[in-house]
Amino acid sequence: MKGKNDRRAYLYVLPAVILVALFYYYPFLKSFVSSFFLQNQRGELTSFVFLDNYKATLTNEYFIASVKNTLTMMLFFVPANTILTLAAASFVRREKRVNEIIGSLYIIPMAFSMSLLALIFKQIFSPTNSIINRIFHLDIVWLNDRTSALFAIIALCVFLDFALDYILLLSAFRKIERNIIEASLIDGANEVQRYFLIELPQILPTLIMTIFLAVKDILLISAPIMLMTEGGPYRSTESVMFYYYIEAFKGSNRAAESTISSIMVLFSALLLALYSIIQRRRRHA
Amino acid sequence: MRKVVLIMLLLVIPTLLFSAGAKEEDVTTVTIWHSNSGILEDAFMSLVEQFNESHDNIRINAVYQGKANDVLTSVNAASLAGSGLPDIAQLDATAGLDMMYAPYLVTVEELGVDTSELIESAYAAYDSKRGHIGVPFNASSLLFYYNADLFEEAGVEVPKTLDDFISSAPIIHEKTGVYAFSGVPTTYELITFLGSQNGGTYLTDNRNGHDGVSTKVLFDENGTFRNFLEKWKALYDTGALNNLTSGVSNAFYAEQCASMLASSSNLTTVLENTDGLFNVGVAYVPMVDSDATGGVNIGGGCLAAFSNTEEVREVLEFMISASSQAYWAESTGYMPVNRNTVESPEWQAFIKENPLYSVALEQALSSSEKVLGLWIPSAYQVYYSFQSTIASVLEGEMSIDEAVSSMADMINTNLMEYARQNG
Repeated sequence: MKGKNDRRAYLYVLPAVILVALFYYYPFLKSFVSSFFLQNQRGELTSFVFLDNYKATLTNEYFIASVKNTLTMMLFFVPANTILTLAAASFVRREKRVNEIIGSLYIIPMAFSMSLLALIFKQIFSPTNSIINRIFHLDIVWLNDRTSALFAIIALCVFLDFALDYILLLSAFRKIERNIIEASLIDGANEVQRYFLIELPQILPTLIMTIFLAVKDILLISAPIMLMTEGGPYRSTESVMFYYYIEAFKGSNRAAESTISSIMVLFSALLLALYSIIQRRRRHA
Repeated sequence: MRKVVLIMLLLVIPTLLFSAGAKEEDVTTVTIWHSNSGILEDAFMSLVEQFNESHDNIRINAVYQGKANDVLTSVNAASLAGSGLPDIAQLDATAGLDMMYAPYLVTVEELGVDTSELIESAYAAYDSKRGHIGVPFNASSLLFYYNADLFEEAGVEVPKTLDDFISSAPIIHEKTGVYAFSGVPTTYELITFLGSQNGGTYLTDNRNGHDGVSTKVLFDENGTFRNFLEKWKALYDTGALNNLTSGVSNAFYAEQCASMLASSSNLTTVLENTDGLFNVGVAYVPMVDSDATGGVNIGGGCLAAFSNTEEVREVLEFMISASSQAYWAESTGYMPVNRNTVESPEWQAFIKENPLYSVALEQALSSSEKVLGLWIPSAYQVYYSFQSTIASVLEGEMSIDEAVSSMADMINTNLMEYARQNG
């Protein structure tokens, strides 16, 4: 009986496995294999070159710059995103009517498409007549400056990710069992103690998840850059995936295409492994 | 269940009817992927309409694919996928290299298009070792746009050379309080600034890549890039130059700068946006020095064919015909590519009324054939790297020598990498 059920279970997951194999594993294996070969413009493998393609990609100064940009964005985006969403979710975590109103304001960004928001942000940070400058009486050329353009993109990312992360964290807060909180009240815990010692540890798995989601979002960022800066000014806001996009799609550079996609898949896999290890450790601790 | 079947039937029947209707008329559809937006799209779509109305058996299906470079991206993607290529694509110089080697491209010669009325230099822009990769359709050249009111207020002449501009720019800046010029030159501008020197020079060997893939850059050895950078740095050092890489036209409309370099195809758009605000003038691009007499290249775009059919040939001949080109040029600012358009009394009357529309064509016709669009791999990256390198020189982060060798190295590396991958 058990064997029969098992077989049926495999049957149920089969369609998903086929799709994943066809659209994720097969393309990855194909590009991984072709990263060791030369390809002509029709995508046919011509000769085996072992690591030459990797050498060409990894020594390209613009690829190195794109890695640096991606890391810089990660360095600023992940903490900013975590602190802001956690603060917002903490602020409205109690079920009160006023909190419902504030809470629905927080999820408004979700109602707009990414491309629309990117174009709005492009106007907000326009170098010639920036709205931000007018409101705050600043004189920054935003998207025309190497440093500030990167931060304008980070601002957009914070806005884009805010609603989803906020909802995840809020539902984690709301799912905390009442009896734990009531027990802490009886024990005489004050607001601060209750938040840091009782509630925060309870939502930690979700918090770790949002942090990893944020890391992943920056690791794979390209569309907001495409829309907002096109990698400019002066190629200063190219992320790894944007660099991949221009090499693979604009430049028909097959070597860069297969090597960068292989590197990125391996990197994402490592990240996923790290995530699983952390979550498992935490559960067993 | 019965309801579902009924709904399905209702959905299927009309499609059957329609497809049957299309077959009866025996219409051939010619799909064009184009890059015209705004005013250009309106003009292009009305050309398409004119064609469709006058041809019973051919129907143009025009699909907007984004900027010229985006059209190339879509074409490359479709060719890699092995299906879905259009019959015709509107491409620019960044597609030159890909098209020269594209197995699916049908050259103008293979298609047998009648090109006898085309202006020679406009047609020569798409000449490759394989034949012409397309017919010129939206031909343009670089133009110097200036705010005539601000120039008058400052009491300065339109610069003929960069030396003129170096002396007049600070006067404009001082007297009017706005930047004399906005923008950072890149590939398009540099083909003129470098290519026009010494009466006309190539930027890379093999005739800027038209006679086969270039093997190396020439602008480092022949000193043209250094010569340009010295002048441009001197211009920047006057404090009257604003390094703006995007929104240059907006800065020009908002009178934040007195001049800019832009394609002649923007002329109608610029005039509409400044109508009632100030007077716009256009002039030849300033020369780097008095020996830089090569002029400008004919840029813009061509129509490349991917299907070898009579219908495609007919569409291309319509697009380059004297009347289509007259309509197209008058509504956009692109230069007519048909000799008969230029000689027609209608065009002569039009430019008499709108003298600004004749400057680009005159400039292009007096240019050297050596000033030619650059067909190199990774054109998109090179475009942004030029800007990046020039900005670094201006901001003092890089010396002129470093900039010349860094840019030459970057393009040479791309050329070597292309040769390594494609043999």
